[in-house]
Amino acid sequence: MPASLPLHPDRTAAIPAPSPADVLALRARDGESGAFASLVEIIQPRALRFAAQMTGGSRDDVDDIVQEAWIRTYRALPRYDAARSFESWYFTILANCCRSLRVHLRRWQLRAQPLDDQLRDHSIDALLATSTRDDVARVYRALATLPTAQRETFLLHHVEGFSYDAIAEITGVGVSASKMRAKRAMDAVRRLLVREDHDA
Amino acid sequence: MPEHLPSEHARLQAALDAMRITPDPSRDQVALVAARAVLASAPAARATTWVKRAAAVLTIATLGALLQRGAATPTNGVAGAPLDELPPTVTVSPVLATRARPIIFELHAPTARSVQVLGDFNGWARNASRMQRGTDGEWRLTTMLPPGRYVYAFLLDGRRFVPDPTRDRIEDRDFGVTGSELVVGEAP
Repeated sequence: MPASLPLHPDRTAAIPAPSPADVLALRARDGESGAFASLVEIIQPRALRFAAQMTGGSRDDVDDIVQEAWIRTYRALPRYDAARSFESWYFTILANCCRSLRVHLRRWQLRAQPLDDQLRDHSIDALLATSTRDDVARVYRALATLPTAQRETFLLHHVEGFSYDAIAEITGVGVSASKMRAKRAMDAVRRLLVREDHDA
Repeated sequence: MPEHLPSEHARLQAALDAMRITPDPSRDQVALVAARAVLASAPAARATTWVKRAAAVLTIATLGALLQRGAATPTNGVAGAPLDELPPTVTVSPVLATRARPIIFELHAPTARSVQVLGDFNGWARNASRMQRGTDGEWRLTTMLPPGRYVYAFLLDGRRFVPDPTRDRIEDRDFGVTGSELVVGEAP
C-alpha cells in the first residue's frame, strides 16, 4: 500500500479498500510518472459512455467534454482527497462539464440514439438479440424526454452502477432526492416500454 | 401485479446491460488524452502556446507590412522577414520567426470522412490541422514549420490514429505517442 494512503489501524475494518483508480490517483497526485495515463486508461471507456449518453453529442463533442474533464481533474489533482472515491470525484467533474457545456452549446439536441456511430461497437451490436437492440433504442428515446437531472441520475445508477450515496456526492443533492429522481426516470422508461409494446 | 412486469423487467435489464458495452479506446488515444491534460496544465506549455500565438500574430503582421510595401514573398512571408522589421511589442523566438518552410502533408484515404494531422508541432491537438480532401481521394494540408525534428500521425474520422505509412515510426517521448518522423531542414 502506498505510504500516502490514510491509515486508521483502529478502524481498518470500517474503511473500504481503495479501488485501483484511488491508488493510481494518489500516485499521480504524488507525481508518479505514468500513473495519470493509467488512470485515464481505466476510467476513459465509462467517461466516454456517460458523456455520450448524457449529452447525445457527436463523437467530437463527447471527446471535447471528456478531455475538458481530464484537464480540470489534472489541475485539481493536488487537492484530491484520499478519503474520497476517485471515480465519484472524477464523475462530479465530468457531470459538471456535461451540464455546463450542454447549457452553453445549445446546438446539442438529445437524439433518440445518443451514442454516436463511432462510439458504438457494431460487432457487439450484432451479438445482441433484435428485441434487445429495439429495447435499447426505446430506453434512449425515453431518456431523451427526461429532465437532465433525472437522466443523469438514471445513467449514474443504472448504467454506471454508482450507489445513491455516491450519486448524492456527484450531483450535490441528497440521497432521498437522488432515489426519487432515479425512480421517476425508471417509471418513465417503463411507461414508454409498455406503451410501445401496446402500440406494436 | 400485472403479468407483463417480470418480462418487462428482464428486458429492461438486458437493455441496460447492452448500454454498458462500449469499446475500449486505443492506448494511443488514452496517451493523447492524458498528455493533453498534462500539457494544458503545465505553465511551461502555456508559455509555449503563447509563443506560438505570438508567432501567428507576427506572421499576419509581417505579411501585412510586406504587402503594404508590395514586397510580400509568395509562400513564405515570415521566412523573408528580417527580424528588425518585426513589430517591437512582440517577442518571438527567432527559431519560430525565421526560416519556416512550407510542408505538405498528404494521405491517400478515399473512404475517410475526415483526416487531421496531429503532431508535437501542434501539441497533438485535435481540430488544429484539418486536411482538405481532393477529388482523387488524397487528403492534403500545407503548413509552415521551422527547421527541426517532428513526430506526427494522421487522425482518421476522429478516432483512428495512423502513422504515415511512408516514414519511419518514432516515439514522441514528451507525449508518449508513437508517430512518424519528419525532419525539416534549413531552407536552401
